[in-house]
Amino acid sequence: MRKVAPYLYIAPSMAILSFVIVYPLCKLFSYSFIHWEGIYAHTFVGISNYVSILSKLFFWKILLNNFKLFLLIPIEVILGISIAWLIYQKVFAWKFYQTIIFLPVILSIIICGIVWSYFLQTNGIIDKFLGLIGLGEFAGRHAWLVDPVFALPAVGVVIIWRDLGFAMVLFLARLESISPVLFEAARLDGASKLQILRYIVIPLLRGIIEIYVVLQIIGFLNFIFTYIYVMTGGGPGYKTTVIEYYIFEQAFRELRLGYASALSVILLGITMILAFIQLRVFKGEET
Amino acid sequence: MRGIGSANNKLVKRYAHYLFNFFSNIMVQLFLLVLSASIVIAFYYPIVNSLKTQLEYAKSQFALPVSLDFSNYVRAWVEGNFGRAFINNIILVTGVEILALLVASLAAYAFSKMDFKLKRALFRIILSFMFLSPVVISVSLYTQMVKLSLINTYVGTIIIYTAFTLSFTIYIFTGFFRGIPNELLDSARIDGCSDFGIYLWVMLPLSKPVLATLFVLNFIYVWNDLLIALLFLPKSSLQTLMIKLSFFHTRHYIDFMAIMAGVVIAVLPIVVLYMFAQRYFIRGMIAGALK
Repeated sequence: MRKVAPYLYIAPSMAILSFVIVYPLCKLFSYSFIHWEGIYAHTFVGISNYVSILSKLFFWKILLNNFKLFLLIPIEVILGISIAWLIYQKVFAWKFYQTIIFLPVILSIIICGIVWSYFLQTNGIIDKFLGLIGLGEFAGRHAWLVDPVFALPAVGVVIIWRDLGFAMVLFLARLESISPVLFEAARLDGASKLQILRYIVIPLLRGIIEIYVVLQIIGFLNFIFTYIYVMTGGGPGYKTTVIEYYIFEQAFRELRLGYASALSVILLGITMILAFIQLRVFKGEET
Repeated sequence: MRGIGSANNKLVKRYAHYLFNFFSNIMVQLFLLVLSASIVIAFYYPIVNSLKTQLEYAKSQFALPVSLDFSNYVRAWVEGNFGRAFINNIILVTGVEILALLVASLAAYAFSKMDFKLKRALFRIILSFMFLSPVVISVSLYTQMVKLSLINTYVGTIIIYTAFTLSFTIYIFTGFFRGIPNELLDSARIDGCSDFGIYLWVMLPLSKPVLATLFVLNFIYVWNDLLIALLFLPKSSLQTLMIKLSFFHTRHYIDFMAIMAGVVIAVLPIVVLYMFAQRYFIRGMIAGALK
């Protein structure tokens, strides 16, 4: 009985995970080799789905949209560390800032998307704000989210707006685990705040920054569907379509299930490759 | 000569230093202020506009309402079926919490305190599922659920949500259980406690902080989710708050004030939860990453 017991304890979890994840994953692979559109019978077509996806420029343009959002990651890191550092130093009203900046994290992405859609409409709050700070020429022409050039950056702003709270909390936790003795010693040696920041704090944050970057890369590939769905529906044309949204559209609107499965497998592959590369890079730097 | 010149230089440098500090302090405060203001406005906007009449909104987006008009809430709740959606959310969250916390803690007990073949491999595989997004699986999962007639069922959807939270939940439980000293288990065993008894009377009672944290995190996940509810609960009477909101929003529903009321209805429970359990939110967010 003793030998079997552990397996009994993990059995319910394994059952649920197999049912929802493992088995569908296997099916996903097999569907990707099939031509299956709508309700018609499916025929085995080998890798022609993959060929059809990878050989058309269109797919790469959509992938490029994902990669454009990667540019947000350094911004998130810099802003996140800045905010965490300021809060750690307890600047004026730090408690207020800390509570408020974290709030968007608990909000549903749908709520954030809806509210920001109203902010970004023509002559909405953002336009009024731009007018206030003298950049009024950019405002008032049409809603940001239907502009072919600015739609994706606009969505990016909302993503950062929400992610900053998480970044702040993460970096702050790491900062608080630094022994204050280190800062005392540095101050006794005559170091300025900036020097402390550059030569002590940032090196100590290396580990958590790496974790954050990995999380965000996976996130920008796999977890931004809802932003796009609520705010732009793929954008003017396909300007804000990311891979997740493309999969969704192909599977559930165009009903091209074989094609969508192949897309999903490709997305999985890209995610695994990128995650693998990063882990290699970061492990390498440690030694 | 050289002495006076360098003294002046030092003074200039010091003033430059003070100026730089002063200026950067202002920039810093401005930045924090603008960011915080945008967040406060994001809450202010729906609350204020949900209490306005059509006429008042046409006049100004930002002004406070002259009188509190709650009819928007009534319209959203009844005509917009947000009341029904609210109940759906509650049902889903309750189901997922019970199932996920139960199943995950059992598994974590085994992973942390027992030895068995494949333990490390299985644990790693389970962990890797954490980074799987529902979209990737959706094609085959959806067809599978259709074949099993589990679309538009609470049970089917609860199981799906549970699966997607299991990896993280098991991970956190396992980490926590590992920290429980084995001496406690040994002494319980000496007192004649069975393995399951230990789980029930030792592990679980000690897990209150972790249970609270995981409860909060899973609550947010299920309550705020869109895709799973969108795909697996399409029937109108089963839709969740988020689905209703997204539908009304993307179809440019004219009754804008009712949408704002819906937003407030959808956000209220989360905000209330946050007010009471703030540290559990934060603890949960960083727990995974800091390990």
